[in-house]
Parts: sequence; structure tokens; C-alpha cells
Amino acid sequence: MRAVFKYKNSGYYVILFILLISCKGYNIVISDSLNIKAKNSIEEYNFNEINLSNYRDSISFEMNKIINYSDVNMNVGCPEGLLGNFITDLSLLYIKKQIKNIAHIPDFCVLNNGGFRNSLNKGPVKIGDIYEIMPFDNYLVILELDGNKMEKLLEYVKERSFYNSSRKSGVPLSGIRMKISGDKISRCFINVKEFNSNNKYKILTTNYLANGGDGMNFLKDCPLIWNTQLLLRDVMIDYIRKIGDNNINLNAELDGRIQINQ
Amino acid sequence: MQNLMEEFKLTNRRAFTKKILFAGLSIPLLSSFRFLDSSEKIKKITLLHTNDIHSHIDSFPKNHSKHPGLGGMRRIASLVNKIKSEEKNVILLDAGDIFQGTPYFNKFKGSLEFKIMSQMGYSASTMGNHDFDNGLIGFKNVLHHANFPFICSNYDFSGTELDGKTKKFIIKEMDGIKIGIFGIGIQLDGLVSKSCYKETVYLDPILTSKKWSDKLKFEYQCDLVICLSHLGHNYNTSKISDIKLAKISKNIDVIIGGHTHTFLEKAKIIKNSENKDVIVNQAGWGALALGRIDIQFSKKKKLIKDLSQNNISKKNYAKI
Repeated sequence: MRAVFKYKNSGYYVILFILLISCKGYNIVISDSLNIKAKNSIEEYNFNEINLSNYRDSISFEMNKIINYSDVNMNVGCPEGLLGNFITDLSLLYIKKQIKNIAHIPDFCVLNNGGFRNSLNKGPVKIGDIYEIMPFDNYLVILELDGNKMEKLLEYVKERSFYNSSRKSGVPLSGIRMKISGDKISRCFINVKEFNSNNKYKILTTNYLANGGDGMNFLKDCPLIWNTQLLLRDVMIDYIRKIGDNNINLNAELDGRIQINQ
Repeated sequence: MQNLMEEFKLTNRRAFTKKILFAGLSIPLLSSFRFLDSSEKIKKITLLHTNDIHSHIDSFPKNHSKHPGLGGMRRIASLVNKIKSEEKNVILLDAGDIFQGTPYFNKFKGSLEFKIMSQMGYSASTMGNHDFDNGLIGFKNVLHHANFPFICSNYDFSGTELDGKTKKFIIKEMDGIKIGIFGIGIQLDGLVSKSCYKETVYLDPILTSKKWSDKLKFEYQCDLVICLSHLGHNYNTSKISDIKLAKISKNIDVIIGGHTHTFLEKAKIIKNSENKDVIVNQAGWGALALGRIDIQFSKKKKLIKDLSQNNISKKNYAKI
């Protein structure tokens, strides 16, 4: 009996000893860091179990699909450009068709030239071309602007209409016609009615600009009327494809929506 | 019988007191035998990490204005493999926003990104705001392609499609070092449309971080507590960020961040609320960089954490 107790005791000390050693955790004594850039010189690994070229082929098949033809070269411009006119017009048209609640209908559309990353070239238009023009996943939203915010926006448009040869020049607009005389806005029509600072206006724009992007800080705290949850790129692809299905080529023109009389 | 019982209790108590005394004496005694203690042994863990990969499987296009021909998960995989061949204990983590950015995502809904990350040997990731882009259901539909867990400590997915699909924390043991990892996401309201995150409840990032870092440090006795964060590195406003979280924290050792696409040359060292060091890092975006933090452990009590001593880096990274 005693012997058993003794044996039990020694077992207890072995456990205690192990506990003592193992319970004592590790401390950090030194740390070091250097982040590594994935430069061109680093080899591109081929994953054995994933055949990337199959994925790539399937994407390039998608990207190379021709969805329409353009009759003209469209570029950004200042105070207006073919590409800006084309995209803002189609966005406004497309979203107006989608809207079921009449209270959501936007009066006009404002986008930014900085967001258009490529031109739309004359000839066949592929899905990949639209990705190159609009690589960002910006979605379209409708905001409400009071008179004060509207004046800030119109001022912004006016200022940018004078910049030249910069990415920040010109503001793509649809649903607005504006005449600038000297350095003042002499006439401004919105949705075919003369601008009235006592009115509230609903604008269609991207979530990027709605968050104050490209210097549009005044849009930041404007109430959101409707988030369309449609990516601008998807809207462009869908519209271009649909009119292509109806054998209508792409075209755009400068229509003097912003005129400057010096 | 009664007497026998009493006597048994008494001897038991006596034996117990003896044991306690012995145990009490043996602690200082044993620690003085340094040769018995393995404390002199230094162990090293190499943390590798990415964030905001944004579906950049291949390198950026050659005509890209900022990063022509650079980056891509395939290059990151080569770097990871190389480091794994040089270091014993490597752990690879991601801080969210795996989705959205190239047609791979639009076409394959994130399944390819998950497959590649699984092949690369990721241990864990957390969810960034863009990982909600196809809704909770969209994330769930491709989740089975990931062989690593998503750790989301402050998104409560109860009653949603992601209920039970993510983890609040994980513990990983490597070479005797116990590593506890939790994940902190950014506020979804205003950043992600409600139809995507649905009934997900956003829990306070500071309180949640405190809860899990305390638990991992004390209850689970982790030697290293890592926060995978998608809060963003730093803001000019009062908005919570990795830097702010580090400053007010107590038991976080490392914050691996994302969201703000911040390129750092190396990790920053921030003093926490108890003047202890927190390592804060982020590795840009688009698989353009791989974050690396080497941490050495010892059983010694004295902390001599020093990042300025760049011996390891210069020697090991020069080749890459």
C-alpha cells in the first residue's frame, strides 16, 4: 500500500515538472520585417493542379466577343467630348428605363472624365474594350441635391470646362445644357427646365463621385435616393449589346450641351 | 468505520499539504536549474501576408500606367515557395478583399482565387468589404474551393447564409509556439450595399479585438496573438484604423492589415496602451507585394524587440 502511494507521488512530481517546463510560454525577443515587391524578375509560378490557360481562354473568349460597331472614334473632351456624351446619355437613358418608382427618376447624369481609362475606337466593339474604358467597379447611384449643392456642382462644371489638356478637364454630362459667358453661367437648363435654386434635383452618378471622388466633395453628404446596384460597366455593355442586336451602330455627337462664349 | 473515514481524510489532508509545500519549493528550485530549462533556445516564426489581392492572379497589364507587368498571385506563389525552402516555420495569411478587380472574378465568381490560395498554402484569411460584392450567398457558393478558414470576429452572421461558415478565431501551433489569430472587418454600412451583407451584424471592432486578444493571450495561453484586419492602415479622421487599434490595445502582438492599399517598406512598431510593442504591417494591393515579418521567440523573460536591427533582412532578402 505504501509503495503504491510513493509511486503515485513520484508520478505527481513528474507531471509537476512537465507542467513547469511547458507552462512557461514563449516571449517575443526580436522581430524583423521587410516587405517584398513582386517585381518582373520574379518567376510566375505555374500551379500544377490548376490549368490557368483554360480559365484564361474562357475569359478571352468572353472579352473578344464583338457586341457592336462604332461609326466614330470617341474620346474624352472639354468642355464636352464624344465619349462623355455617349456614356452619360446611355446611362441616363438606361436607368430611366429601369426605374419603377417615379420619385427616383433622375433629372440629369454627371460622371467624370478621369474614370474613362481608354477611348472607344471606330470599328468593332468588344466586351474587353468596355473593360478597358471602365475597369473600375463603380456602380450607379441617384442622389438628391438641394439648390446650394446644385450651385456648387454647376460651379465645378464651369471651372473644369476651362481646364485644358488635363485629365481633370471637362465634365461629362447628360440632361444639362449650360451657357457660360465670360466667367459666369448665363443660362442653365436642367431636364429642359431653367435651373431654379429653390428646387431639388436628382442626379445619376457613380458611387465613386457620390463619395466625394474627383474633387466632388459637395456630393458627400447628399441624400441617397436610390442605389441602382448596377455597375456602370455592366450598363454600358448591356446597352451597347442591345442596340447592336437591333442593328444600330454606336454614334455620338457634340451638341453644344456646354457652350462657352468668351 | 466512522473512525477509519476520519483518519483517511486526515492523512489525505496531510499528504495534500505536503504536496503543496513541495510544489511551492520546487518552482524556484527548478527554475534555478537553467540547464533543465529550454529557455535559451530561440525559435523563429516567419509571417508572410497579402491583402487586397483583388483577383490579380496574373501580373498587371504591360501597358498599365502605374504597375506595368508587375505583381500577380503567380509571382507571390514563387516568393512564398522560396521563403518556405529557406525557413522552417512559415505561416501565410491574407487580410481580405480577395474578390473584384479582374475579369477572373466576374467570370468565375472568386472560385479561381480560392483555388489558387488553397494551393499556395494559406493558413487563414479574413473578409474584406469587396468579398461581399456577390452577396453572402455569392461568397458561400465558392467558399468550398478554399481549404483555409475565414476568420471574422466582428461580423455576426447568425441567421444569414454565412452562419457557421466563418470562424471567430483560430489557434495554430508551430514548433511549440502557440499562435492565436482573430479577424476584424470594416463597417459595412455605407461601403457595401445592404442587399449584399443583408442581416450581418457589425460588432464594435475595438471591443471585439479586446475580447478575443485577451482570450487568446490568457485563456488559450497563446505566445503570439495576430489580428487580421481589414480596417485600413491609418486615417486623418477619428475612424478606427490599424494604427489606432494598436495604440489602444493590450494583448495584440501583430496587426496584419488591408483596405487602404498601403505600401510599407517594412512593418511599423507601435506602442500599445501598456507601452508594449505592436507590429503593424500592410502589403499594398493587387498581389504587388508580399509582407514579411520574422519573429523570434525565447522563454527568457526579457523582451528585446528591435526592428531597427535589420541583420536578418539584409542577409536573407538580398537574394530576392
